[in-house]
Amino acid sequence: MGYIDKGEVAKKIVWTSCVIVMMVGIIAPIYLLLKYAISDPSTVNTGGRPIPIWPNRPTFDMFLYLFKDREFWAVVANSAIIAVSTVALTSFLSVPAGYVLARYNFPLKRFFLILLISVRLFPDISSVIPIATFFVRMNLHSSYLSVVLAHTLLALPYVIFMATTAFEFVPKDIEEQARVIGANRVTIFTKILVPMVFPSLVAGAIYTFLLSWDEFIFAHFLLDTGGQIQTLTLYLNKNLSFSPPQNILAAISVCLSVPVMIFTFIVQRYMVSGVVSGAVK
Amino acid sequence: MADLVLKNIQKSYGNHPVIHGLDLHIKSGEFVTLLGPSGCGKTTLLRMIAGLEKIDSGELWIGGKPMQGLPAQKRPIGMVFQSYALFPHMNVKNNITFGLKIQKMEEHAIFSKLDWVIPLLGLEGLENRLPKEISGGQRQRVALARALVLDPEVLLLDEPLSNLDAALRELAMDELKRIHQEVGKTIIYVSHNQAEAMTMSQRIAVLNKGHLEQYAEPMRLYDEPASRFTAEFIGSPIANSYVGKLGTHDGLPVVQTAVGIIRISDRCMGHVSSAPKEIRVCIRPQDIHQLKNQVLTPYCSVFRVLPSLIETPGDRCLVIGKTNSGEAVRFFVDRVHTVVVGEPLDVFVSAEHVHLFNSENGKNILGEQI
Repeated sequence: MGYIDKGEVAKKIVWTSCVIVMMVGIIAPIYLLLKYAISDPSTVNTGGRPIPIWPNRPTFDMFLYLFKDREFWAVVANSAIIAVSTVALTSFLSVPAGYVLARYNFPLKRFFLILLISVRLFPDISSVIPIATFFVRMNLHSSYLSVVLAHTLLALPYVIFMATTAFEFVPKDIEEQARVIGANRVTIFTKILVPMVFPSLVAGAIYTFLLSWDEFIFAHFLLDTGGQIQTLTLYLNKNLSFSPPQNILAAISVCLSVPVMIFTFIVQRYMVSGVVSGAVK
Repeated sequence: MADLVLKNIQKSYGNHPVIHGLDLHIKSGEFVTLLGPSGCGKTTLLRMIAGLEKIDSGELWIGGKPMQGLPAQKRPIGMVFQSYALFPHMNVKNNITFGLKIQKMEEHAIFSKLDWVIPLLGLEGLENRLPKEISGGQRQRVALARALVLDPEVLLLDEPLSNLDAALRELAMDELKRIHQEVGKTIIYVSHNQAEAMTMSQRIAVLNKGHLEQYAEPMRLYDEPASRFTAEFIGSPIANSYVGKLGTHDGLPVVQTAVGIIRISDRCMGHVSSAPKEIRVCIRPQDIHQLKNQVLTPYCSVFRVLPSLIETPGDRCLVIGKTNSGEAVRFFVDRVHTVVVGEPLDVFVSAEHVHLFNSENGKNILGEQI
């Protein structure tokens, strides 16, 4: 019709600008990190002048140096074991908890919900001391289990809330229909409910993985810097104290970020929106 | 045989009773509608039959077997929800076969079931679509197919047509009737839409506030309503309703109303003395006719009406007029140009169409004779 709504155009311009600003905000640090990570060590010290937008002599030497370090691979494995175990334990606990919270009413439910979220109302640094002390007493100190349990503790409140909300979105009709068709509770849960809330469970898993993978405070207190088991964040911290060239730190940081990106990329395709649509009405 | 028998069914939510001692006998292969306004307990009753709601007291029998204490998944029933409740993550084929797979039915048997039900409901070509990729009418048919493949003895339908638009609903009604004839299942259909109920059912159970008002064939409900509620709920627009007094006129039974003296059926003669003096008179707009040149029987009563409003909903016109005493009379005429607003005309009603109800309890004064 050739008719242009000026308000619409202005809205589009504002939104596009916002998106661009946000993208710059997200991409700039990643770009800087990458730029340092592939810079030649001799070009990093420029006497205060910024290094050019594209490094003079891009090189993967830093990564090769890291990849040759056996300690590096050990800490990557540790971080992965801890993160994956945390995801598994968190999912295992949060799915049934979310279902019960969404579907059943029981005494003190609201109190319980507040109690659950209150775990995260304190700064980590104030809860880490009692937890670390407790784990020492339980002989769990410096073990995978201690960190997995601590990270699960951190992730659970949010993930349970995510699962609860997801189950609340599943219409009751669907469950009743499945019952009429002849499904028992286990079948309904595994064949109907879990597939329907799967996108939310994936979102919860991503959140948990991210939280565990780059968590520092609990790992630091529960594993000791000099202990047997080290995570990537502790490794980065240790290297920082030796004040190595910035590009090595940048390379470690890239190694910290890349698995997160890969994990998110793999699982985010399960987060298709509108899985519930078409179920009712 | 899969007769469904309800005996003295009672149900309350907390202190609020929703079903008060209801008896119903549905014959095998019958299409019965539970009809009533919102909150009359019809959906609760259906859910109790399905086993989704506990029965407080009373008995439920399906095919001669007691159903109390039997969970929903063990009852020989199929159900289609108002919302269809399709499993959104499964395609049409998997939705339909979900119940068969739970029963561990063999692959080839599942295929033959699909070969039977998919053409029956016209779902060819949609087998691999997800529920969100098909239309409302198709979803409704998938829900029906999913219930039918399990070969239930009783099929429960909870307002399955209410989410469809008017044109689609008429098609779906014909379709449902056809399917009922083909599969011969006992169908219990819940609706608040009397047109749907009248079109499809063999018998209708009219429910009001948890009570069974009347349980009869559609035409019988229409012609011989057992209560004032049924008379006013069945039929559209709402029936004319007047306060009247029973009596005799020249030795014939009549009712005196503000509209005039109306001749009533001879069957009421015996009630003239026994029935309470003040009664409620209901006459359907469809049963009042314009007096032209017809030869009237002695059973007809004539009264004069001043038309004040003429509505044209379709092939007929609804005339809303007033009598001398100011009572409103609604009736239908065939052609609009024969009636002019402000010009009085004569209308008549035949005695068998004058329904008389006890003013206190709303029951038809003929009571058991109906």
